[in-house]
Amino acid sequence: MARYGMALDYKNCINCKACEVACKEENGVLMGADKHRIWVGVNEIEGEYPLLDIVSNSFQPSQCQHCEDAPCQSVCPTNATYYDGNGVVRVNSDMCILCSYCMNACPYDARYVDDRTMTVDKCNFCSDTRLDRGETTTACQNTCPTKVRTFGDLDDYDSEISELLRTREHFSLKENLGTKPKLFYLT
Amino acid sequence: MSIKEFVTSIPVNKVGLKDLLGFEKTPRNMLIAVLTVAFIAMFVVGVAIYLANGHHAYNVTREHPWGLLIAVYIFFVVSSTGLCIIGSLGDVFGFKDYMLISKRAIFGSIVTIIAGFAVIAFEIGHPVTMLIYNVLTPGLTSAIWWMGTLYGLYLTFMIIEFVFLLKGDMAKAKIFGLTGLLVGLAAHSNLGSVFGFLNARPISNGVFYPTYFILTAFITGVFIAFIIMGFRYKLDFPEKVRTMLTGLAKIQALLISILIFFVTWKMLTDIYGGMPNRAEVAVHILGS
Repeated sequence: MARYGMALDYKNCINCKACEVACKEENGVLMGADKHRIWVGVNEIEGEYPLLDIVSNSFQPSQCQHCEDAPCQSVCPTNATYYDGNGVVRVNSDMCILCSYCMNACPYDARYVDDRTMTVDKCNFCSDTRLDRGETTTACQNTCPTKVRTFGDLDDYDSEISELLRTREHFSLKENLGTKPKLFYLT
Repeated sequence: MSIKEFVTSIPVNKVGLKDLLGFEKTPRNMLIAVLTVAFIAMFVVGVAIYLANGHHAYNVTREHPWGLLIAVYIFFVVSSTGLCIIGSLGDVFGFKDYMLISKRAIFGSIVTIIAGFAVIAFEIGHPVTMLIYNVLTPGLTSAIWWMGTLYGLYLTFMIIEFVFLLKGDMAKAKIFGLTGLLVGLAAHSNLGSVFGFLNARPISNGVFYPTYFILTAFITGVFIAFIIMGFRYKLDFPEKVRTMLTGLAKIQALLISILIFFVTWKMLTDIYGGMPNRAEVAVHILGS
């Protein structure tokens, strides 16, 4: 069993949103569903033309952080949210009662209501689609033109992600909450 | 005594639809009748809109997933817990002055908790799935699971207590009343902890909501007791009732003072220092 995580070289992001499109295509997210599963956070450019502060304009791609101690899992009254064998936080839609507690509990606002099943859904690292077919990458990683995302097994010393985390400085979001996210932002 | 004998020995008047509609047609009774029909009609319309449009009917969003129905549910369960506390003053704790409201208050607590369940059944997206998986795969770390389970137990104890009150068996009513009260307080503070456990929301995280919910339950219970007794005696109270209501009013003054003190400090500590996610929300609450 693996312990999957993702490293994001977020300064390379050009906000082309190809990752959002690929995710929608792969996971059947409905058209018009904005910022579902994955999204790109944008810090708008500051200043007025022609005195624009170009450095202020930055992008932060984000999604479910696949916390090792996930608040959404703790609060689920029916255990519909669970950790699979690879440490991926997933939702069993047959058991979800749509109480929306997980949506309130998630510090990253990573959950949404899937209008097809009327249950809460989230990124699952393409576990039931690409990984299930034996592929080793997620849709968002595979399509990214600037190679922002690196997906892999954190327990495998030789994996690309382990190498990156050993050699590059990185941070996680809202670390003070003790959720132990498995998404790492490379600096 | 067999269960059948036990049930048939409960002293109740059989009330048919004819008796229900044959009430005295005074303006006061008519007002209550019209209000009751209007509320039931609104409930039916609400259910119809929900069945036609699904969860979208509630205008809840991803950023704000809990809306009006959660507030209505909380109103009903707060009322129920409050009435249970008021009912317990007499038949559990033995304050003789409050004995005369016990039966009405416990009946009220049963009615309001059932009303709360009726509301939450339509707020939860899949209530049948909830009934199944709450039992099959219980989420023991979830405050919602504890709240729901304890409220179910609470309703059971309240009904048993009410039956013994009807039968005049005060010793058994006291045992089930005390158990029901403790389970009810546990359930209600668990409802507070649904918010209190949210580490992601600094405005609600902490001990405030579990204790605040118990305090406001007591206050709501006293107000509903006033309404019940005011309606029963048409504001022309006998001496015994007057003594009880005066006692309740004094308790209410103390409770509201504590609430004012409590909420003032909650708001001040929320705003002080301008902590992100906490101060803005507090200012928004004050300005809304």
